[in-house]
Amino acid sequence: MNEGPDRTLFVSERVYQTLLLAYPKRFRREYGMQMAQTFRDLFREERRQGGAGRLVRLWVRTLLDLIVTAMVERSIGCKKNREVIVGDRRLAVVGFLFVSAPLYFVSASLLKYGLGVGLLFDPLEAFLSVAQRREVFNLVSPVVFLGGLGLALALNAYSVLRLNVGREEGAVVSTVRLEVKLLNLAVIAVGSLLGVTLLGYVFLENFAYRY
Amino acid sequence: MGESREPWDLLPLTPAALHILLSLADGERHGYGIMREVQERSGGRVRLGPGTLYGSVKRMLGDGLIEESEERPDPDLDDQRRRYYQLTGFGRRVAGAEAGRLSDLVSIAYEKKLLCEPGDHGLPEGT
Repeated sequence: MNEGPDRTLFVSERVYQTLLLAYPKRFRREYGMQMAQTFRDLFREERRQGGAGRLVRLWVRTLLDLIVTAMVERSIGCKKNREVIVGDRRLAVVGFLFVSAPLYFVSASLLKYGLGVGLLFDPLEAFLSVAQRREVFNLVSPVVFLGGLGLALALNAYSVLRLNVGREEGAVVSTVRLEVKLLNLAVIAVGSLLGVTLLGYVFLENFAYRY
Repeated sequence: MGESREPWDLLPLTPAALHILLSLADGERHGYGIMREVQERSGGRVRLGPGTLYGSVKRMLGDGLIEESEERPDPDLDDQRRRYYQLTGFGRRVAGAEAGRLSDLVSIAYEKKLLCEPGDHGLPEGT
C-alpha cells in the first residue's frame, strides 16, 4: 500500500536531481546533494500535510526557483570565467613585454653572426659604440634579460599550472595540473628558449676552453 | 575573512540573506531547518526554494557572514550528511546593521503616517 507514495517520492527526487543539471557543475558538486535532500524533506512534509494540490504547488514553486537561480548561478560563473581569461591574457601580454628585450638581443645576434644580416644588430652596435653606454649595457642587460625572462616565466607558469598539495593517509601527495592556455604557453616556450640560449652564451663566453 | 570590512559595506542585504541570518541568530541549523524557520516565522508568506537558499548560502559563506558548523548531529537523531550553518561574529554585526537600517525606515514610515501601530503591515485589510 505504501509503495505508491514512496514511488512518487522516488520519481520526484530523481526528476529534481536531473533538473539540477541546469546549475553549473561546481555549484552542483558543492550543494547538489543538500538541495536534493532539502527537496526530499519538503516533498515529505507537503505529502504529510495531504493533498495532491500541495505537491503540485511545491513543484511549481521549485521549478520557478530552479529556473531563476540556475540562470543567476550560470551568469555568475560566466562572469568569473571571463575575469580569469582576461587576467591570463594580461599576464601573457606582460610576459611578452618582459621577453621582448632578450628576444630582440638574441634575434639580432643570431641574424648577424649566423646569417650575416645586420638589420637588427647594427643599430644596437652603433648605439653601444659609446664606451659609457656599453658599460651601462654590460651592467644592466644581464639583470633586465634574465630578470625579465624569470618574471615572464613565473607569471605565465602561475596562470597555467595548478599545484595541489595535500595529506592522504599520512603521506604528502601533490598533483600538478597543466591548463592549456595558448598565449601563456607560447610565452613560456619563447622565454625558456631564450633563457637556455642566454645561459648557454654566458657559459660559453666565461667557461669555454680557449687556446 | 569578513572582519576587515565594515558591516554596512554589505548593506542592503537581499531578503533571502536577511531571513537566513535571522533564522541562524538563535542557533545553528541545516538547510531545511532554515527553510522551516523562515516559513513559520513569516506565517507562510516567505518560502525559500532550495536554489534561493543554497545560492544565498554560497554567497554568505564567501562573504564570511555564516560558516559551516563543525559539530555533527547525533546519528540517531539526524542524518549525518546534513551540513549545519551558524552565524559568524561578522554575520551577527551585519544582521544587526541591516535590522537597524530597516528600523530607521520603519520610524520614517511612522512619522509619515504610513504605519499606525506595531504589527501594522501598511496594507489594506484582508491582504
